[in-house]
Amino acid sequence: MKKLCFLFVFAALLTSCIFDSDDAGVSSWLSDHGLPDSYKVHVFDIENIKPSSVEFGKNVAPRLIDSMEFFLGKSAGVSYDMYMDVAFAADTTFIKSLKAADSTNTFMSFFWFWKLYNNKNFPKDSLPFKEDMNVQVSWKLEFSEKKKFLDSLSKISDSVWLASLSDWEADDSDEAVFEISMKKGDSTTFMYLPSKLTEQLSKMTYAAHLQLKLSAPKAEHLYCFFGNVSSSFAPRFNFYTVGDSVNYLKPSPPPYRAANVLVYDEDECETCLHGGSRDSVVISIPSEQILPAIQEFYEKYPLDNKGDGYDVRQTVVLAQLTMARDDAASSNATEFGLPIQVVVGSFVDSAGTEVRRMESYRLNKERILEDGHQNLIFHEGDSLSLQITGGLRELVNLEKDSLKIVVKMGYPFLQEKDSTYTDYIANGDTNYVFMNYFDHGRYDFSKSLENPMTLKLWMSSKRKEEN
Amino acid sequence: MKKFAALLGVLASLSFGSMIGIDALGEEQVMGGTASAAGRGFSGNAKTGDSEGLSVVNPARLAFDKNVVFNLNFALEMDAASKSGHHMLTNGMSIPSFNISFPMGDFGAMGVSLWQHYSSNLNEKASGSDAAKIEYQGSVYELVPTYAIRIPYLRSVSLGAAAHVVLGNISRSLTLGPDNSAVTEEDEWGTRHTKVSDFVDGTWEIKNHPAYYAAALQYRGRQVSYFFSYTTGYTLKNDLDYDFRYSEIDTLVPTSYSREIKVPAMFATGISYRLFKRHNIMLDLQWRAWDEDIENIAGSWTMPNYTETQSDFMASVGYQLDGVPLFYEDYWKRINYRVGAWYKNWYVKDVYEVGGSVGAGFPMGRKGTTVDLALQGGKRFSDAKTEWEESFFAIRIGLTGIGTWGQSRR
Repeated sequence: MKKLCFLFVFAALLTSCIFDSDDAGVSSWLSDHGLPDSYKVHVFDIENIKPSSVEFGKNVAPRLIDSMEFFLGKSAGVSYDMYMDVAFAADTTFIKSLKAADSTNTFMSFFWFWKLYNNKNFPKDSLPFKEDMNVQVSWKLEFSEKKKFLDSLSKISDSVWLASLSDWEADDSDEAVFEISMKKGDSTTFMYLPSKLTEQLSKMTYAAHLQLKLSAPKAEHLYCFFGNVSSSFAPRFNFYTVGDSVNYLKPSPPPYRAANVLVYDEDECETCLHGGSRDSVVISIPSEQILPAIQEFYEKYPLDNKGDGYDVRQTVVLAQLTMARDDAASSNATEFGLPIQVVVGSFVDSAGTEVRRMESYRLNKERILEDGHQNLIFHEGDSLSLQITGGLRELVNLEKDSLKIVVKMGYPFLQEKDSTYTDYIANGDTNYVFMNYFDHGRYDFSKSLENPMTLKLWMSSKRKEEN
Repeated sequence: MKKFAALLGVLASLSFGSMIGIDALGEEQVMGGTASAAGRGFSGNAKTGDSEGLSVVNPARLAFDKNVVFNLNFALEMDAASKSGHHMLTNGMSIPSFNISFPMGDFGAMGVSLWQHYSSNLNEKASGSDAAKIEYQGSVYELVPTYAIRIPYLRSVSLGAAAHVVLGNISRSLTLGPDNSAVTEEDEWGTRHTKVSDFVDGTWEIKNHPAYYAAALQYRGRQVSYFFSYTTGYTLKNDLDYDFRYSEIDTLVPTSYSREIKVPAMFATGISYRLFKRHNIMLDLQWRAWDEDIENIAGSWTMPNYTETQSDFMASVGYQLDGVPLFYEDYWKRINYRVGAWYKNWYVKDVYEVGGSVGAGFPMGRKGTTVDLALQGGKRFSDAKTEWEESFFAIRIGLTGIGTWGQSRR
């Protein structure tokens, strides 16, 4: 048996070593069978594309702060409200000091998000920040003497708490001034809470549950703090009494959880997208503007009557939608002064359900080296090119009624004319393509969407005709 | 069933090398591709013996077997195709059939075969970075339960019948790089290094029926044995999904289509003549009249939609010197020596094949276990526009185990 195996292997090796097809053999065989050895690419432009519907969406659902950044303040027509869920129990010493105190005070301490402010791409002229920011402080307060009170609060899931923020009604509120004075290198800041709140808190006898909302709709800036409540840089609620001595509630509790809620100005631009938000615009383009142009380009095909209707006669290798761009529009605003990437996704079918799939991005290296990436706003030029290959591919494949895409603002772009599109290490240094923090700026897409667009298609076909 | 499907998957990866008719059904593996039959030029379906085993062409022969036969066949085939100064060389290994049969004395005999009846297998790449790559991988498998019985009071005549349950799958993938000749230099970036595969895959079954059938009558004489068999016609149904692919997970929604192939009925006959004691001369014929052309697996670009057919005919002649069954005899005398030749009209129009083979059956040990070896060579001639001529060389090995389970000592 071993000899037989050896014979097989030997014969296989022998044939693969001695014989090989000649270089043109496969191409020639394909040609004899009526098949090409490469697919013919046809490129054509479809002009005058006009969306049938444009829907700007502003998602104001509360955002749980489960990563780093926690915002307070205002940027380009949007204010960021802070919500914090604080629960704590005080020991008997502190409760006694509360009763005997001459005065009590509460304040929030925050760590500046120095990862952003120390970043070399953060604009140097933005710092220092100096502002006496008026903050509307609202709260809900509950006391209990039961030990299980705090445990019961932890059973409220984050999603239930987040949902409750949509119709959150405060028990009480008051104004406070957040004296902001921050220069590069500063790490912490404090905000004293209203005395009305402190007075109410002073009545606690054991445990307290404080839900706190801070709102600064007239702030000069959007300020960024560390928000991750489980990190050592978490915000903390501080409570102390002044009497014969100063007694602090120890430890100063961080919020059990925290959230940001975006509040748009009532007269905020309707055709704008905001960076760092969940803003998006869904654009629908009817297939009548696209499919006839493709059908005009290609003629009949031998497999025409075959199959159950899905069109696999050709495929879209690349599709690029180019629209006008007006960076100088008065409503445009940028925090960092960097170009910002525009990301695009298409609504496609996935097992009978429409899902949003982000589009991949093919690099036009020559163009990038000369003029920079073409999917950016706030950079040179007056057009914006978005690649929507996946969406177009499905539109043609399934002969859908319309193409539906979604456009959002992405990260600020650092290497406008670098054709790598990904971070890389060169000569020992990491070359970052994106800044990893959102620019909370604003961009008005009205000119882009009002003017006719151009769709450029790179098509491959297995149709008989050579055209 | 999953294990069985997995086994079929493994077997499907081992396939033959001919490229003729690859868009139709592929290469036919005649007579189960057994190494013993291959050694005598695919003749000898009429030859009876104690342990001849199952024949997919002549199910009646089984009735004369006295031993349980377990038979597994391997084949290594090398094909050199050429046309107009270009050539392609392919080789492939396969397991064309696996047979097992049980004689049951007066109750007849039964057996089953798993037969890779047709296979299309090609995996070639042109030279260059954006080069075309063509892949075919397909097999029409048949599971053939067989029953045969000698007629009471007429013991030299037997009747046999077999059902052929068809299963299997097929795929074709043509991966191409871009031809940017019609694209301006400015726009070339859009397709650079983008490969697209024209992909089709599907499964085989018989339309509206679980199987097709074969029936045979065999006569065994002292010197002359012969058989007649008839195999019903049937319609093969190939459910296919057509697709364009960028990768296995980046595809279009495929369009489904079924092609139907009307395979005609087959007549077969054969004779085996015994000279002296151990010399056998055999002649076999089989014939199918194709009425309709075969729709190709994938019509695209300027590829023809159909493969034209012709009457499919095979004549084979062979000689076998039976080995001495006594284990204490000289080993060289115990070997079965075989030689044969055949002529075959393929089902593909204007393609015919001439081949010859030599073979031997080497007994292993005293119990009758045999290793059959056949060396074959020949040429497939083609006047068809799309098909290339092929020279082929094949090595076939059959492992046959023989037992006497259920047989009483006599």
